Amino acid sequence: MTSVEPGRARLDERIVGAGTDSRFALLLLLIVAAGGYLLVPVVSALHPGDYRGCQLAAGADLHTGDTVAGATRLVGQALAFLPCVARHAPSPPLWQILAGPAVVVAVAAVATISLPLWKQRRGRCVRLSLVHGGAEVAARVEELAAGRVARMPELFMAPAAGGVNASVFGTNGRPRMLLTGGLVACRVKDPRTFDAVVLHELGHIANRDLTITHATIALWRTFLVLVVTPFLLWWSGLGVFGVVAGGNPALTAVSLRYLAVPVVIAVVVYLARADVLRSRELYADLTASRWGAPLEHVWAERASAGDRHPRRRANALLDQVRTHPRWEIRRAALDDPAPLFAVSPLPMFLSGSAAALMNYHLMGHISPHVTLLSDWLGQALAAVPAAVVAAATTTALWRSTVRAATLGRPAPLGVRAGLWLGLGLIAGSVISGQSTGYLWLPGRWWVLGLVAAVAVAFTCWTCQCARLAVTAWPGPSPRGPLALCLIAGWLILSAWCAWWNYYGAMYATGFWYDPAGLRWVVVNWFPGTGDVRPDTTAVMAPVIGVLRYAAYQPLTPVAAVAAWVTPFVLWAAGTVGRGPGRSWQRSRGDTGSDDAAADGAASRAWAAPALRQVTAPALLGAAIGAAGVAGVQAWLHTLHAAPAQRGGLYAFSYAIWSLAAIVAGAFAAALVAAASARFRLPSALIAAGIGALLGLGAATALISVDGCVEPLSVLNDTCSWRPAWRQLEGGNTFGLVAHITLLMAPVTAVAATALAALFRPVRRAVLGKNAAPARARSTCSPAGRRRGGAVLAAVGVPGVALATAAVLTVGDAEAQLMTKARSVTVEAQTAFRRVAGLPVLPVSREVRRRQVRAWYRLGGRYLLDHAIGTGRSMARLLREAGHGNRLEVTAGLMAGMRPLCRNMANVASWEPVYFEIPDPAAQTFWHRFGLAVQSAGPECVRAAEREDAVAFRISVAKIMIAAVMAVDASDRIKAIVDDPSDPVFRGVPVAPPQPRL
Amino acid sequence: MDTQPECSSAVAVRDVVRRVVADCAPEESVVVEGLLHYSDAEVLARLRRRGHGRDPLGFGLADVVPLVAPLLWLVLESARQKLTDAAVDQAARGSAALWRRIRRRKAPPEIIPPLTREQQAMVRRMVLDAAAEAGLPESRAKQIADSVGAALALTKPTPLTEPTAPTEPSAPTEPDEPHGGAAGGEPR
Repeated sequence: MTSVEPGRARLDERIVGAGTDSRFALLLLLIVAAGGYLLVPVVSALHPGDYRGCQLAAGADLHTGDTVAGATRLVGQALAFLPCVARHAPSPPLWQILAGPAVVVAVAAVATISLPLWKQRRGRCVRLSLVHGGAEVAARVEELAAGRVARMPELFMAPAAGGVNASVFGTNGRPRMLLTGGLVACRVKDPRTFDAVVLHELGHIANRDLTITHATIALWRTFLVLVVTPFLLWWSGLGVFGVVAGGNPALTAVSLRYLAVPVVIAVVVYLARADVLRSRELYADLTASRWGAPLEHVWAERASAGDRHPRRRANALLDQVRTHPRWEIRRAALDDPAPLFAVSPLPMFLSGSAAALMNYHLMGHISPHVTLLSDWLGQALAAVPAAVVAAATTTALWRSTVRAATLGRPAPLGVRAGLWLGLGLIAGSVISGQSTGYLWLPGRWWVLGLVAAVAVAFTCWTCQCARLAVTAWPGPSPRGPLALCLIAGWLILSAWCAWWNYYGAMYATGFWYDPAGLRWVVVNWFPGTGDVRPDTTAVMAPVIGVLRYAAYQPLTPVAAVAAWVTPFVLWAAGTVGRGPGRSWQRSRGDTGSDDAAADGAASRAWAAPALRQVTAPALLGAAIGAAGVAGVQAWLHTLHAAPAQRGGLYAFSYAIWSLAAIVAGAFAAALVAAASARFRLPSALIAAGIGALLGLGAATALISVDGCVEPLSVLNDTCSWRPAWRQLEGGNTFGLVAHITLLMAPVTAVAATALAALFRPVRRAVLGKNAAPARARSTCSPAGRRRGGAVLAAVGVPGVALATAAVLTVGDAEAQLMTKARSVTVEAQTAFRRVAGLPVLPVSREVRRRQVRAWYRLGGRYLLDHAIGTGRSMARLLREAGHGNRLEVTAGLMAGMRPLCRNMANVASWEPVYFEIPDPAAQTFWHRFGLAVQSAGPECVRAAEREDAVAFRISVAKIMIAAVMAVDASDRIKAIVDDPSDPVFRGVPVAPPQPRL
Repeated sequence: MDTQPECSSAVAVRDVVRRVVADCAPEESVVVEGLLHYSDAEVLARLRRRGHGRDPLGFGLADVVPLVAPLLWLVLESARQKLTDAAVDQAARGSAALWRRIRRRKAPPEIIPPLTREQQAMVRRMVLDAAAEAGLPESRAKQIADSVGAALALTKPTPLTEPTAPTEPSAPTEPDEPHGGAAGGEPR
C-alpha cells in the first residue's frame, strides 16, 4: 500500500470551508428561479385576456410611449387597473406559476437518480466484477479506498477507452467509479500512475462531490428541455416580430431581452460550473496527495513528454472554460494551494450576475399576483439571492484573508473583488431589464455606480471582519466568527436587495417622485400647524424622500446594526478572551522555521489596536450629536411659536434637524476613527454605530425633558417627563428618526472611510512619510475589573443596538405584513399621485383614440350612460313639476328625486377610483361631474329626507349642471372614437370592476 | 526458421487477439476480457470512436496509451475485410446486423478465413505498419507480429456457424446487481 507522506501544503486548504457548495447552490437556485420566471409567459398564454385593453384604458401604451410615465399611470390608477386586469386578463393561478419550478426540480431529481444508470449502461462500460481478472484490479482499488472513503465505490470498466483516466459518478451515498481500459492496463506496468488516478477519484468521493455535481448537471439538462425549449418557441415569434417591426424599440428590447436571458444563463451556468469543478479537482488532488498519491509522478511524466503550452493568452482563456485545470496548475497547487485561496475576478462577476438574475426572476414569480405582495414577502424573496451571494463571496474572501494572515502577507482589501461583484450585479440587472424597464439602457445609468459602491463596501467589510477574526478571535476554530459574518452579510445584502428591487432599480430606470410632491409630503408629515424660519423644506424633502424608503425596508434596522455590531463583537472578543488566538490557523498549517520569523512580523502587522481607540471617537460623536440637538432646540426656541403653532412643519423640523445632528455626530466619530486607526472601516463602523446609538439616546432624553430648560424649550413650556416617542408620535416621526439614525451609522462610516482613504495620499504628501498614525496598542487580555467591564461592553452594546432594531422592526411589522390588496386604498393612491403625478402621455391621435375607446368599453360607457340616463330622468321629473319657469318643490317631487340623487351620487363615487379618461378635455368634464355630484348628490338625498326645499333646490341645480358635464364628456368621447358604427356603442355596457383588490 | 504451415485454419478475430495479448501484453488481459463482453461489431465501433467525452469528475488526463489489444483488433479486422469480398460482405452484413439488432440477437464472431503464406505475410506486414504508426518500438512490433502469425497458425479452428460466447466471469458476481450484458445498449 502506498505510504502516507506528510502533507506538503503550507496551508491546509480545509482551514475554512471551500465554499463550492454555496456556489453550486447559487447555480441550482439560478436555474430553478429562471425556470419559473421563463415559464410565466408560457403559462400566461393559456389564460388569454385583455391586458392591453386595461393598459390603454389607463392611458398608458408601454410599447410606443414613454415607458416610465406609462408605468406611473398604471401605478397611479392601481385601484382601477388591478381589478381591471383581474377581471379582463386574469393571471394564471399562483399554483400554476409555482408548478413550473416544482416540476423542473422533480424531474431533475428523477434525472439525478437515473443519471448513474445511464452512465453505467452496458454500451459504455462493463461491471468490473463480471470481467475475468477484474478481481485483482478491484482488490487494489479496495486497498486504496480502505479507511479513506466511507463507502467503497462500485467499479466499472470502459475497456475500449484507451486513455489513462478514471471518473466517479453516482451519489455520495452510492458512489461508482469508472476505470478506462488504458488505466487498467497500466496497473501492472505503471502502478504509481494507477494509484494516483484512483486516489484522486477517491478524493472526489471523500470530498462528497458526486451528488451536487450530478444534480447540477441533471437540473441544467432538465431546464433546457422543460423550460428553454417551450420558452424559446413561444418568444421567438415575438422576438422576430419585434426585430422585423423595427421602429418599435420597446417591443424589440423586451423581446430580444427575453430571448437573451436563456443564453446568458447558459453562459453563466457553464462558466460558473467549470470554475467550481476546477477547484474541486484541486481539492481532490490535495486530498489524494495527503493520502500519499504519487501525483508528482504523473505530472513529471507529462513534463518529460514536453507537453508545453506556448500560447499563454489562449490558455488563459481556455482555463476559464475547462472543467479541469491544466496540469501545470495542478502540479503547482500540490506545493502551494494558492488557487484555492485566491479571489478571482470571474467567480465574483458570475456570482454577482447570477444573483441579480435570480433576484429579478424570483420577483417575476409574484409579479402576476402583485396584490399578494407585502414588504416582508418582498424582503423574503430578496433574501434568497442575498444568502447565496453572501455565502459564496464571504467564504472566498475569508479564505484569502486567512491565508494572508498565516503567511504574514498584507491583508486583502477586497476592493477589486467588490468591483467585479458589483459589475456582475450591474450586468445581471441590465440584462434582466430590472434597471432598464422596457428600454435597452437605464434611464439613469450612473445609479448603477451605487451598486458597484455597495458591492465594494460589502467585500471590504467582509475582508475586515475576517481580518479582525484572524487577529482577535480567541476560539479554537474560525467557524463561529465565519458564521457570524455570514449571517450579518446576508442581512446586509438582503436589505440592500429589497431596497434595490423596490426603489433603486426604479430610480435607475428614470422614475422618481415629483420634487413638489415630496415637499408637500414633508410639509404635511406632522399633524397640526406650525412653521419655521428659515424654510428648510427644500433641503429636507429630497433627503427624506430617499432615506425614508431605505430605512423602512423590513430588515434595514437589524442589517444596519449588524454592519457595525459584527466587527465590534469580533474586536471585543479579542479583548475579553485570551488574546489574539490564531491557534486554528496553525493547527493545520505547516509551520517551518522560516515561518516562525514571518509569524512574528505578521502578528505585529495584523494586531488590532485596543478597542478604546474606537470608543473614544464614538463618545465624541455622541457628544457632538447631543450638542447639535441642543442647538436645534435653541434655534427653534428663538422662533417663540405659540402652543397652537407647534405642530406641522415646526415639529417635523425639530425631529429632522435633531436627526441631522445625530448623523453629523456619527459622521464625525467615523472620520476620527477612520483617520486614526489601522482598521479603518471597522473602526469607523463601530465609532459611528455607537456614536449614533448614544446620540439617539441623548436626543431622546433631551426631547423627553423638553420644557425643563427654558432657552431650549421647543414643544413645551413646563418641565415634565414627556417621552420623546410620545411627543413626536404624529406621522410616526420619532420612528422615522430612529430608523434613519440606525441606517445612517454604517452609511456615514463607509463615506468617512472612503474619504480617509482618498485623503491618505494627500496627507502623506503634506506631512511626509513619518505622518503615519502612531502604532496602536495591541489588544490584550485585561484582568479583574477591566475584564469585567470589557465583557459588559461586549455584550451590552450589541444587546442594546439589536434591541433597538428589534423594537423598530416589530413596530413596523403590521404595516409591512400588509398585502398590496389591503394597502392600496383611495388615500394611498391619492398620495402617490400627489408625489409622483399622473402624467398625460403625448401619443398619436390613433393611440389616443384607442385609449379613450378602451376606457369607454371597459366601464366608462356604463358610468356615463348611467349618469346621463339618471340626469334625463331627473330632468323629466323636474319638467313635470315645473310651472312655467318656476319649479315647485313638493314632497312628492323630493320623494321621486331621492333615489335618482342617490343613483347619481353612486355614479360619481366611481370617478376617483375608475381610470381617468385618457383625453384631458373629456377628463376635465368627467372630473367636474365627479366633484360636483360627490357633494351635491348626498346633499340632495339629505334634503329630500328632511324635506328641505331650499337645500334640495340648490343641490339639484348642481347635479343638473354636473349632468351636462357628463353629456359633454360623452360627446367628446364619441367625437374622438369618430365612428358611430363602432361596436363599443352597441349592446349592454360593461360595468367597471369593483375597486376591491 | 519459418515454422508457419502452408495454409492456416479459419480462426475468430477475438481468439487471435486474446492469444496474442496473453503472449505479448499480459497486462492488457483484463481489457481484452472486458472487450469480449461485446460483439465484434460493438468492439470495433467503440475502438473506432474518437474521444470518450470528459466526465466532470474524471481525472482529467487526455493521454491515450498505445495498447496492443485495440491496435491488434483493428488491424485484424482490416485484414479480414481485405481478404474477403468487401462490397458484398458489407452489404450483407449491414442488413443482417440491422435484423439482429431488431431481434436483439448477438452477432456471430468475425472469422479470419484460412490464409495462404502470402496472405499471412500481408497480415504480418499490416501489424508491423500499424505498430510503427502507434509508436511501438520495432522489436515490440516484431514480437507482436510473430505472435499473430503463430496465433493464426496454431489457434484451434473456429466452427463457422457457432457464435463465440463471451468469456464467463471467474470472479463471483454480485447477487443484487443485474447482469451488465442484459440491456443490449447501443453505442453512443
